[in-house]
Amino acid sequence: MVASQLEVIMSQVQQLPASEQAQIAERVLALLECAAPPPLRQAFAVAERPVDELHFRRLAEQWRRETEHVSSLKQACLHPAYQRIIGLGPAVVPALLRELEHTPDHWFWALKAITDEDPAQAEDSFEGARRAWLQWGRTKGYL
Amino acid sequence: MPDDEHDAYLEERFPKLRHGLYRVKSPRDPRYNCFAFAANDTQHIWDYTGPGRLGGYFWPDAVQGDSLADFIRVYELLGFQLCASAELEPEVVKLAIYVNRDSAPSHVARQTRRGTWKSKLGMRGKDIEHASLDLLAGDEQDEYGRVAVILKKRRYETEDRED
Repeated sequence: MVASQLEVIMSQVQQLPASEQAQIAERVLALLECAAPPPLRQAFAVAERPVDELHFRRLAEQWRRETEHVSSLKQACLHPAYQRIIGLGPAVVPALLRELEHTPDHWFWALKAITDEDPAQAEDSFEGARRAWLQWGRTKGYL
Repeated sequence: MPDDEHDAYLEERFPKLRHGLYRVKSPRDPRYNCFAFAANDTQHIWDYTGPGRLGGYFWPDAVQGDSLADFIRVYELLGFQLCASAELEPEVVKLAIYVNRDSAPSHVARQTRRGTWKSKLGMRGKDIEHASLDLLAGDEQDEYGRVAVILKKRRYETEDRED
């Protein structure tokens, strides 16, 4: 019951500006303690330090533009803009997953680097890995 | 080869295309790269992602690295062998491996039945057919460096029919 109410609150909080989300999430986290299920706590933990969406999009666009014709994944992912996205930490994971959902690109390296997980390890195709990461994101409450 | 499908952005990134014969063959696609395309695979991205292996990418287990020697080994597994010339030979398919200034493989192009070359540009770019290997060589903008190695194998009847 409490968890379902919190989910409703969370969905409403996500409609607010990032700065307000952070303030509310900080208060809710203090109240939650261990009462909420892990996915919900994780969702609030991410909202606690919201990523600047515009900043992320600028970095992503720079990376796409400057590595469009690079063939090597390693070379593309070592690009400074990509490394800065990784440096944004767990807060950027929802934005990365949304990007992967709507504008498919090579975000698997960043997602693994940030989360230390690879739900797509058994996949050897881009589409298979994309599906696995999106499913992982839904399970974790990021999407 | 028709020269009626020019792309201003590609010509900016690969300046030699401005004065060379080429044509765009496909839209952008992130699902395969040039290393796979050279093996006629448009369903995977071929790249070595380390001993821990990153999901979403293909690389033969028998090859543990991404040096020029490793790339040659990968294509040898498909039946290719080193070759001295990029000239068209009957019933033979050739690959050209480009390397950058660090001698790291940067691109692979595949010869068509007509003697032109086809290339997937990067991990998400377009496919093009180009008249010569030189058109993508050099150190300007996105150019791929120099051709370091030519490989060849017998071309089977079922391969490259669309050429």
